[in-house]
Amino acid sequence: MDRRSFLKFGALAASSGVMGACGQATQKVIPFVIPPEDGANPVDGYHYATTCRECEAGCGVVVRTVNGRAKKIEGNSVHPISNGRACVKAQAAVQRVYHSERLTDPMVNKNGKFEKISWNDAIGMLVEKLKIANGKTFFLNNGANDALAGVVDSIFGEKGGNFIASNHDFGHESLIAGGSSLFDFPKIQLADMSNADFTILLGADMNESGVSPVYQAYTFGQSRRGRPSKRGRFVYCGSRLSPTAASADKWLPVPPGQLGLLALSIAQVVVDTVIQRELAPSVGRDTLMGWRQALNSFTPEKTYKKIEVKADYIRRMAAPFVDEAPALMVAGDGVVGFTNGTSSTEAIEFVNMLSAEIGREKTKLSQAKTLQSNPTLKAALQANFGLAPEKQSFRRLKILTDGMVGNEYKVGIISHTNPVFDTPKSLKFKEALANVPFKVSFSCFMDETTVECNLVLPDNHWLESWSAQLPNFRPGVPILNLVQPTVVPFLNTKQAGDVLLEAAAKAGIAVPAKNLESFIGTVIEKNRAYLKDVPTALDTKESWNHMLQSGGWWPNYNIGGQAETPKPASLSAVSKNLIIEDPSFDGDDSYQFYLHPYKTAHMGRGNGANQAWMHEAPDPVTTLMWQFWIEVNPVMASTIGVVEGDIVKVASPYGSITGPVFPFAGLRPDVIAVPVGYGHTKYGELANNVGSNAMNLLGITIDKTSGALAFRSQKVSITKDKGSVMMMRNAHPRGEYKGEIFQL
Amino acid sequence: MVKFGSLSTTAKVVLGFIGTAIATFLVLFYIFYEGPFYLVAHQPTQPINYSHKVHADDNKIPCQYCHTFARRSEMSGVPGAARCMNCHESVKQEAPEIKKVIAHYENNKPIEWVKVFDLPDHVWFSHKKHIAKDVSCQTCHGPIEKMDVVSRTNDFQMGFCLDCHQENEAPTDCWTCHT
Repeated sequence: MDRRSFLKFGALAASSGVMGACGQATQKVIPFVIPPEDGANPVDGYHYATTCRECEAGCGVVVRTVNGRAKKIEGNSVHPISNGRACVKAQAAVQRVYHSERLTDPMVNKNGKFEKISWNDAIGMLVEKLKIANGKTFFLNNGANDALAGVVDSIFGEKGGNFIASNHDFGHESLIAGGSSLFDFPKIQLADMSNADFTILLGADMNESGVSPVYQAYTFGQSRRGRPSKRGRFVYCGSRLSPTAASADKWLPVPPGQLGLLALSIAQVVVDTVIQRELAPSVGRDTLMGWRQALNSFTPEKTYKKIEVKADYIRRMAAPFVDEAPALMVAGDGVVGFTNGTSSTEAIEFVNMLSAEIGREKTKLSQAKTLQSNPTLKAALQANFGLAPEKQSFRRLKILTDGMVGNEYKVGIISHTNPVFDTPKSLKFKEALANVPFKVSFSCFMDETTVECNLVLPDNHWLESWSAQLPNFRPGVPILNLVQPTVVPFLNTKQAGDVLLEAAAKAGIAVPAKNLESFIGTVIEKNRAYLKDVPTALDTKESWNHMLQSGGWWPNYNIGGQAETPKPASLSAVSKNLIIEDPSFDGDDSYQFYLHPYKTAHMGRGNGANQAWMHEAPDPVTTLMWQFWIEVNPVMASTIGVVEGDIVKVASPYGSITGPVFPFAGLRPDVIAVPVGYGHTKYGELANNVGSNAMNLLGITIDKTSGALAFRSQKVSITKDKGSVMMMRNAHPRGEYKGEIFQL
Repeated sequence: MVKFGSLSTTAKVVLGFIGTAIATFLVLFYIFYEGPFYLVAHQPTQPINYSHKVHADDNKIPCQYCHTFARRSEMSGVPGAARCMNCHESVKQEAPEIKKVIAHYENNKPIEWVKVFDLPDHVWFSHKKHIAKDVSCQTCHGPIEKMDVVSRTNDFQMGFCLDCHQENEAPTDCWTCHT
């Protein structure tokens, strides 16, 4: 064959190949053997209202399902928390439910190797152990106030040596305690910023990792753009320019642990002004004079050195609390991460309360659209769908750990929480857990804690589950969220509540219902008379369906109802709380930096690390993605002699971590910031060996008042380590944020 | 302009190769999409020898008993084995093909039917809208109730759709189908 012929045949073969690739492969139509929903529309699908359980904010969501599979999750527009919005975690829940690493079957741990067993054998094993334990069982959850927690409280309670605890988000205890001392209910006070003209955010990274990012971001947006004639102003005070801080008008880099002092300093100016102008007569002049006396040592001139904000500027920030009352202060991780977290929260709530009082008298309007639900209903819901706040403190988790070390428990039940990974390593939870003879984990994924357990029971994802949930904060209306299965479980999983009820009944323990769905239905039916706005003409099933269609129950505060403003338990009793102690830090003078561990919106405390979407989502400020980083102020970076990507070692008395450095101008020079949630070792392919776990650095420093872990009280050192990596960023290095940071 | 004769030998070879490839591609493209290959009735082998004739013609079972979504959705839907068992729970269980269906049902294993009718991704078609206008199934699917083995009787080129739309004064705007 000559060259010309060879080329011709070659061209013919190449083009034939291209044509072949254009052809359509045989397509198949694979219908369900039994359709999951009778008459389900294969294109339009169905929409179900339920409640997102990716965190405990309790956002109402609507799930679109097609052919029995969840396709899309969006906010429920009638829900008072989500208001039609959904955050990154809720959106990505469809990736979790269909995750390839989900646990598919019950498994038993045989010398470190997990073997699949049947549900009958698994439940039989649990029953046998519960009988032997005869009390002496502990239950640990993730801080959820839900029907499972209520059922467990009912089954196990604190009888015969049983113990119940929560591995809650750090610092929530201080937010609850700080509010509870001024108000008469143990819930986190969550300010509605919608109508606030001026708000000071005190370490409140609310839009990405707050108590309820969706609700708080919504009210933030309403304040900014929801009112045609007004634009709310925001000042962020804290050590790091977080995404929320970047959205504010001004960032004040106040030193760690001094935000409560700033609040009291503002309070001093406000009280002084109120007395001078003779405002807020309902408070009484004697009370005001008492407050002035108590606040005498907190004048801006006396405190500005500690706060590192000019006295004049403190006065400027205080002015709107009188002139534009009600103005607001919002507390966040930057307040409760220290040993004075509770007293700082109290100081902040005091200023809010006082400004509300001034505003009420000025405008003659009630500030908060609040309905007090019937006390009987509140008590019933709290008793059945949650744990008492005192069972959810970090101090209690410490007591549990000590108990395990002392061999006090024979059976441990762990539900959807990973304390081996996300509590300080110095707590030694893993070592303590080894002392418990039989541990059960209810989980959707293998993780660092589940791998330590003897029996692994794969739980339904919340999209496949029944539950009822009470949000951990108070957004102005009492809310009972319902969670219903929106898709049919496709793995050999069972709902934790149903398994525990079955096992407890077989072990001879009194149980309140045969399964979780009937438990929830029974509780709601008993209290139906108190559920305003559920039409009374409906029968039991109809009212249940009515609530499921909405995603739960909450009173419609535009129709009827008695508007009330949360009132201070006793204004005159507040003065005793107007004290802020200095924060104490863990680490001697050889550790020169304050550690600032923070949650990102996508990683949370680490549970987002096994999702590709979460790694792909860039951090809003640094724009880093698919990797771990350690933030250092650029001035300090040059002092240490490192540039972006150089590996550094951060050490505390309890351990050390390494990672690439990211010089970040939005950080105080004396602070090192580290995102938490990285550094997994047993959480799946995407999570394992990505970065380091900031929890390895923390000691056990507790806010004595609330029992919360003071997770930002650790001092650390930093040194240059070997090597360098390229930082993966989703923005140009001279992007808009960076420019603004330098201007500040 | 560079004359062909002035090109180097290598350039001539490359250009010749590309030219031949493009020409061959165009010829094959025409034959594949416009020529007789595409018009050949598509009659794939199905995992179950299901007969539309037996069900829809001999036993007069309405089309929408099985294709339940046709009047409510873009897609007509293919029934699951459970729907087959509505009748075959008590009808002709001994037949070899029905035994296959029963096996799928009892083992919860879906039947993997092979698609006969399909449209390109750039065409939006709604069964619901056509049924609402009383367009019969046979208009597009041919005399399917007479077929033991389903085959494609139309080429489903754009002309086929437009002829019918014009005849029935249905919209002929581009975005009616190419949304």
